[in-house]
Amino acid sequence: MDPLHASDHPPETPPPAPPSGDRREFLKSAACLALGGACVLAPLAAGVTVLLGPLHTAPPNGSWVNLTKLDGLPVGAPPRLFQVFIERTDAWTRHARSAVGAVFLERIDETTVRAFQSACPHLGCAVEWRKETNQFFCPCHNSAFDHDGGIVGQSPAARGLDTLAVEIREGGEVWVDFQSFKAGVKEKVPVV
Amino acid sequence: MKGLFDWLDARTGYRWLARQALYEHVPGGARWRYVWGSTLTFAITVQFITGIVLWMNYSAGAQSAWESVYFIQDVLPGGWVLRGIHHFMAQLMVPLLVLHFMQVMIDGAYRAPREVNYWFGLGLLVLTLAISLTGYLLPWDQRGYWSTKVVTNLISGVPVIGDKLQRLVVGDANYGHQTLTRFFAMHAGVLPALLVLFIAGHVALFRKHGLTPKLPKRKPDAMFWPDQLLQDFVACGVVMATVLWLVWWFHGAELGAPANPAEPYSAARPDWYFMSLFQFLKFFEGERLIWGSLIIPGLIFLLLMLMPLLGNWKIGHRFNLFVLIAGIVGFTTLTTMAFVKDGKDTHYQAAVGQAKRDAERTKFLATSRRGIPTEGALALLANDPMTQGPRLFASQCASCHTYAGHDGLGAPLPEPPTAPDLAGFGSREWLRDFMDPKQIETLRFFGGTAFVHPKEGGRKSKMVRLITDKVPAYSAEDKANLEKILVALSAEATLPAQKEADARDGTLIADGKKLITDSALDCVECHQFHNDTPGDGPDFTGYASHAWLAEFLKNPGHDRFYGKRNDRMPAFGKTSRLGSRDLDLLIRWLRGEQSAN
Repeated sequence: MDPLHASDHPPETPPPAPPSGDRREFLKSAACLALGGACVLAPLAAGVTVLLGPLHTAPPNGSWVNLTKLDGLPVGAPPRLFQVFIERTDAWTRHARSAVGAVFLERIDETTVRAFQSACPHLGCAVEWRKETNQFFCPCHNSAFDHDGGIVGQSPAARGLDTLAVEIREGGEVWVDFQSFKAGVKEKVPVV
Repeated sequence: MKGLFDWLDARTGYRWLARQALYEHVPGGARWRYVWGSTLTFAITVQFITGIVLWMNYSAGAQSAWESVYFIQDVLPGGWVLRGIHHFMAQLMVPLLVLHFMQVMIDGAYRAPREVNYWFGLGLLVLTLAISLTGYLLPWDQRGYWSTKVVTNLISGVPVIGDKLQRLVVGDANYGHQTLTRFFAMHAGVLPALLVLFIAGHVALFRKHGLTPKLPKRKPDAMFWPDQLLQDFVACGVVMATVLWLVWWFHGAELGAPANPAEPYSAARPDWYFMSLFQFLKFFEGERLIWGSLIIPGLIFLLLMLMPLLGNWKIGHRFNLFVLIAGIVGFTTLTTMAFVKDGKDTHYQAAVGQAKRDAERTKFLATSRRGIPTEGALALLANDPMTQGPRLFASQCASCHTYAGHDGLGAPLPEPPTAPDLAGFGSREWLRDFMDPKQIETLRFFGGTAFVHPKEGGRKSKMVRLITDKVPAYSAEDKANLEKILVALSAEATLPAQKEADARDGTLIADGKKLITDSALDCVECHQFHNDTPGDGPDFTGYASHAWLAEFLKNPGHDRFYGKRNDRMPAFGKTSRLGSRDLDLLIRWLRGEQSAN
């Protein structure tokens, strides 16, 4: 009898059904499943462990970066976008300068600088400064923010632009604590 | 021969298999409406063939993904066709899926006893979209990078485990190697394997329950082979021809500029079939986002899952058809809204244009340098004056200056310029126009400066008065001398674009040089020229050359340049607005020079 025909034409003598309640048969089935499961368990466990690896490595969120000097930011000039490069190890590659994002800097007065993370708090696209409206605008889902980073009108973003800590260090160097924050929520929560 | 096949059949039973595969009963005869499942199987076969060869040439790494796709696209013979077929077949699979779904719905082929088969189909729909989504990131260009960032941020919105899920998908806190390796394994391994399993289940159950004929039957029953298969293959031919036409028409799939997390990309959009979801998200304010991203799409999917159960009632079937039509109308409306908005958005158009220029420039640099440095294609752009120059000009110079009438990047200035247009600065044409009495007081030159609009009680600058008052009265000889002087002065700039003209006009330049010091026009009364005595006007020694511009930009108020007559030109050497590297890039771009390395 060709086994391939099995589904087409039921065999004339079906294999005997296992006697119900047969302890031997039950033990055999249980052992079969247990042993088969155990065999697959090892690679599965190893795989899952590696897959979940990123949850246990905690790269530092927030690195202080020097973006410019105070005299590079004239008082009264519109917010200016600075690219942020940090020292970073991307998996196996060590970068002395790795582009990770961008920050808007604006000189508020002689000694104060304001820094906004350029990532939109809605879903992370990069907002741009629009001089014709004096607003920040996200070109993805049209979130708008005023000069101070507050939400304008019916914006999809749940919160205003994220400010970053700024320190003016020796020689007028402007340092910013570059961080990323969770998208789509009201509270400003650093991504960990 | 027959003996050999008999032997093979006895050992394998292949004839029975072939019969099983080909002699499927088609009640009511072959019809065009049944072809969609076959076209999808065909599309998937095409994706496997092209995908595997792409895979053989692709490298999933942050400094090698874009680079290897560029290699496939622009270097490997026929690579652009291969990638084009893969790309456009993926685009076409979405309408094919919709057509297949519509046929199954309208003909009622989704109802009992075919519920499980329908669920396999839904699974295939989701898998196809997931494969498209993961494939979008792989070229690692600006578009894929910024659009996928939105998707992974949406994942973080999943309740409770969202943050962890996002971390697992991205593989790190930032996008990088791990993101690409994961997306690639999903795109080329996990999801296609699942796809094959689901197709096996889908086809097996289709065979088990048989075809659901469209009633009333118009023709006698037929067999799948060759009646229906002939129609199926005609449809596959049309699909393939369409894909090839798209590949030819668009010159293959697009490859944008390499992904740059520090360079905002204002044209981030998903592929067209996700544009409706993209548009949908605009309607949800604040934390209601989860309704648009998860809850409503989830409910729609749940409804799709329930359709075969509802369809067992007549009214349920009608309801399902209504949902189908509403869904297609909604999808079309949202998609159209998104595209219409982008079509009218000048900012979006400008961003698309900029992205195209960056992409072309990167490919040009990669090709002209016979390869990409190990740091990746981004480094090519970062050190390229033609790429960085216009950006630096727009951010640092375009509050006063124009470049060929725009801000360097093609956008107009919000207010009229208050300083000269710098396109072609130092060239013969620029200098001739500058000395033209009709042009000097226009906005292209000094029209917006204090040299033409002095403070109250002051006079226009000496140079402006010379041009407007004296030049028109020049004798023919003076005019000829002026031309020689301008050619000589322009030669001081050693502009790359004038290299040949300068070499050709050696005598003219030598004459002009003499005339600068000796003629009655007496330039050196105000301008220093290869000597040590600064004049009131800017130094003509090496005028507009790289070295001259570098010194000038550091301090235009230096005695060698404008001295205390400097209008509003900032001294970049005294502040940190531009670093020396940026200054160099800016100057090279202005002068049309290539990068140093």
